[in-house]
This record gives sequence, structure tokens and C-alpha cells, in this order.
Amino acid sequence: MNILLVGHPNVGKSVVFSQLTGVRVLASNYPGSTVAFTEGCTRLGDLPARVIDAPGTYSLSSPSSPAEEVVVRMLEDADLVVNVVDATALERSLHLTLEILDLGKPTVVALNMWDEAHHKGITIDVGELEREIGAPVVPTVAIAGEGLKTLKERLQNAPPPSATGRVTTEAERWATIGRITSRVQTLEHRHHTFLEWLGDCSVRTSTGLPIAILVLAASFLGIRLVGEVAEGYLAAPVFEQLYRPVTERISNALGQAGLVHQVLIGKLIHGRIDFLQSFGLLTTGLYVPLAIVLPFVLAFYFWLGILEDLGYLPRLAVLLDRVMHRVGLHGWAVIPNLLGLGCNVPGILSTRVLEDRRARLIASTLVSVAVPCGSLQAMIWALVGSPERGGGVRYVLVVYGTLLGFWFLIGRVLTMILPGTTPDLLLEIPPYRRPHWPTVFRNLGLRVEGFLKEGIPVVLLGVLLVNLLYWLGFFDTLARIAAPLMTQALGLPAETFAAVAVGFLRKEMAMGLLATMDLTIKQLVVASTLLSMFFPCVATFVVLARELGWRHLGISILVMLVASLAAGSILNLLM
Amino acid sequence: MRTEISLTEFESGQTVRIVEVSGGCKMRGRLMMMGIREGNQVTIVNQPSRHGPVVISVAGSQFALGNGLASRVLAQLVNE
Repeated sequence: MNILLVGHPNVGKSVVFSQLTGVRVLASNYPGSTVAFTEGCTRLGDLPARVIDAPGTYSLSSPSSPAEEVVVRMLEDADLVVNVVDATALERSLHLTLEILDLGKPTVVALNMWDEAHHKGITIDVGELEREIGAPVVPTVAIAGEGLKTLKERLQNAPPPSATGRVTTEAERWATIGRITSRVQTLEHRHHTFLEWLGDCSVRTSTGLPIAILVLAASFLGIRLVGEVAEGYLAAPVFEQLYRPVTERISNALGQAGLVHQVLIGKLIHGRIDFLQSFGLLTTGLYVPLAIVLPFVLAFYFWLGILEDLGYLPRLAVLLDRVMHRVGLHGWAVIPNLLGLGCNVPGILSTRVLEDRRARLIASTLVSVAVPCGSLQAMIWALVGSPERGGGVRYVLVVYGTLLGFWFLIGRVLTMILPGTTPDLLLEIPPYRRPHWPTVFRNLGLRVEGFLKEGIPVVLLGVLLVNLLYWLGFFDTLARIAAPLMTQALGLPAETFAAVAVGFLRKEMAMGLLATMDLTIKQLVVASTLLSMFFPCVATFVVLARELGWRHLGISILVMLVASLAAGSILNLLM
Repeated sequence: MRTEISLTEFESGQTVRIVEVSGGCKMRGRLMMMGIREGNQVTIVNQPSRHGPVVISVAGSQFALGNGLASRVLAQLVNE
């Protein structure tokens, strides 16, 4: 038996889904956080049932994005439908409800955010609503698990909807909705709460911009601080004091040389294991992802999670709409770009919320070329931000500045070259909600788990492969071929191309290689920029190919190659 | 008799009644779904100084409408 959850964006479908199935899914306070569907299992009485969480949709008759089109197709296979409705926006939700009921499938309406409706002074007569629409209605507060048991009970014996006067035209349907709403809902006027006031302030032009600058500055500093503390006081001591003796014992047991030593421990630098440079499975293979990248990823996702749950991101989208229009996108395209700062893969997947192919091509290209993911950012800080290598925050800002400059430039050029127009923003702005910490930490856990599960195996495999290719002399050949380009245009030693090539597997791996090469700070800046822009990692590449199709992928790669070489050469000339 | 002007020409804080929504039927459909349809009352939460999205509040929910969209929605001022 298939149960499908359908409803407007941002009404809490994913939360209802988690409560029904026990499957943890990302949920956030903005529309469109579910772009694909998720499946889970539950039991209705004695029967097992498959539950599917669909992306949010406003309408079945005129889907406006690929995410919405998916829902229409999925409804065909559903046996039971749960229509999740935002109780604070009953009237406009009913349109979708009536469309679903017209399909004739057994449907139960979950009136979610029942508590919030109460706080807003909205009262809904549930019994009367049931009679009006001819289907069971259950008030729920999904985040607290309230009403879910009743929902399941009602689902067990949900009848097909009793036809309540089919309508033929849109006008008739809206008239029906108006009649139902006025009969079942009473409103009581409430004064603005502090959060509502703050919400209005952060979209107003005069106050919104200073607030945005404050939020972004705080994000930058907050992520740096949390990341540095996690790295300096947690990861580094654990590796240096607890883990180093273990690896040294293994190294000694292996006689400090030989093939097995090379693969497990790597090269000894000045007779010692260097976690960054040795490049063995047990040394660099674990140190870089766990001690350098993980603290940054953790800090980034923690902060993003808070902003998401609060509901700030749609407001940022409104403020940045005009800037985004310059690069052929509307404000909501800040979401792929922000998510891309953690990992390009979810960033590119989230371009599905954009309406047309042109916008999706531009956004995906921008993310994959000019938005550095968490691994890259941690690497940039470690390589050009560390005083040991003659770097500093100044040089980090040069890399970020170059990326931002090219982000804008690429966007401008694509906007002018690609036929078509930029669609207008049409976005629902959710109310601010106090962050719900269980949700924030669940999202953080899911994202970090994803990083560990997908990242570490690839890094380990990569370290193995790199050792093998070195042994085969592959990188020497590669370096010879790339030499003219690398040395002449970019001012880098030919071997750095090996690092860039390795970055295709996983960006953080390039770091161990670059660290061994004894580069000047200028060369490190050029190499970091090149590595960020030139070809994404393999995981991003696969998603890019799937989302864009071959022709658009070709355009995207062309942009990537031209832009990364241009950026590298310019930095080489100017610095 | 009041004049109808587009949503982009009102000021922040004003309450208006929607008179006409023009544009393709798909876009009209999406706007209607958000409560932006003839006869409904909306409040302008923020009117940007230049070409930004207009933020409106309708039936307790807030929406941002890009400038092009907002200019195709005609409305008239409601006396408070």
C-alpha cells in the first residue's frame, strides 16, 4: 500500500513523514527543501505501508517546476493520500485539497501547525470542515508528534471522498473555497509579536540590508570560530597526542619503509610522520577529512541549520533579488549557492526549485565553478591562511574575492549569451520560528553523516590510487604534458597539475599534495583558486551531468575551463 | 471612483484591494494559489526603492513578488 504525502511547500510534510516512518529527513523552514521524494515504511494496523514524502506543490493542474511535476506523476500510483495543510493558511490551501479530492482517492487532511494557528487567533471547526469537503480532517502539530496517532487511525479506514458538488471552472472552485472558509474559520485579531516585527524588519529595504550584513558577518566569524575551536582544541590534540603514537608504532613495526608502509603510512618527512604530507591511508587519508575538513563542515552546517530553521533564508533571497537578476537568476537562487558552500552536490540538486532550464544551467554552473564547497574552503584556509606558509587572512580573501568576481562575471556573460529571460521571483516568506533544536541537530547529524559516509571512502580510495599512480610514474607523464600551460600561464611547477588532477576525486586530497611541494604563497593562492574552479569533484560532476543533460553539461564545462585558466593567469600576472 | 494602479506604485504599510491580475494563465493560477486574486485585500509590507521585489501580506501569509509580476497586479487603496 502506498501512502503519499502531498501539500504546499513548507507546511511540514517532511516532519509528518519522519513521525510516521521514523526515517530521519532534512526539514527546514523554507519552501522547497524536499526536491526529490523520500520513502519510508510504517504500519497501518497490521498492514505494512510504504510512505512517500513528495516535494511541495501549489497545484496539480499547472505544475511550475520539475519538483512539482514529480508530484502529479506520483499521485497516480498512490493508494492513500495525506494532504498536509498549513492550518494558518486554510483558504489558499483548500484549492490543492479540492484538486486532490477530485482524484477520488481515499484522502485524509492533516491540519498541521495547529498550535501556530491557535497563537495567531485562528479557530477552525474541524467537524464542519470534514462535512464540507467530504473527507476526514485531523489537526496535528507534527513537530511535537501531536495528532499523528489519530492520523494513522483515520488513514486505516479512510473512505474515498464523497463527491461534494464537482466544479468545472476555476472561478467556481474559488467561490466554493470562499464559502467553506467563511463557514469553518473564525479569526480573532492579535497584535504583532516580536518575531513578526523582526520578520518585517528583515525584508524592509532600510533595515533589512544592515541586518543581512550583520547576519553574514556573524556567520563568517561564527563559522571560523567554531571551526577553529573544533580543530585546535579537539581534532588536533586527538590526532597529535592519541593517534600519533599508534601510527608511529605501526610505522616502526613495518620497518619505516616498503610498499605496505608506503600505502598505510606514506613517506616520512624528516624522519617523522607528517599527517598532512605523508600521504598514507592511516595518516593523511584520515587526518585531512577528519581533522581539517570535518570541523569546518560541522561549523558551517550548524550555522546554516540555525538560519534555515529560523526562516531567514527567504528574506535574504528577497534582499538579494536585484543582485541575482544581474546574473540571470532571481533571489531564490541564493539557496543553491548557499548550500553549495557546504557541498556542491545538494547545491546543484536544489536548483530544481528554479522554474526554467536556463536558470538551472546558470545556477548549476555558478555553483560548480565559483562556489567553494566545505572541503575546498577548509583547504584554502589551511593552505593560504596559515602563517607557517607565509599566508594569512589577506590571501584567503584574495581567493574568495577572485571566486566572487568570477561568479559574477560568469553569471553576467551567461545571462547575455543564453537566450531567454530571467523569471520573476514569487516566493512565500515563512514566519520566523524560534529554532527547534531537535530539528537543528537532526539536520546537522544527517549532513555530517552524509559527509563522512560519502567523503571518507572516496578519500581513502583516492590515497590508494594516488600511491599506485605515483608508483607507475603516471603523474610525471601528466606533469610533462601539462608543463607548458602550468609554468607559462600560471607560474606553477608542473607537478601541481597532479594535485589538480587528484582534486577530481575529492578536493581535500589535493591539499596533502600541494603541501609537500614547497610553493610560495603566490603559487598557493593561484593553485587554490585553480583547484576551486577547475573541474568539480567526481560526485558533483555526476550530479551535474544528470541534472543538466549532455548539451548543457558541455556549456558548463567550457565555462569552467575558460574561467579557471583565466582566473589563474590573472592572479599570476597581478600578484 | 478610485484609480487602479499597479502594486509597485503603492507605499509600504498601505492596504489595497486587488482589482485585476493580468498575465499568462499559468502565472495567474500560481498567484491565485497564493491568495493574490481579484477582490482580496493585501497589505504592502515593503515597497523597495528601485525594482526589487514587493513584499505583501495576504490572509496572514507573506509573499515576495518580483517587480515584473507585481507590476501586472492592479489594485486600489482601501480606506482604513
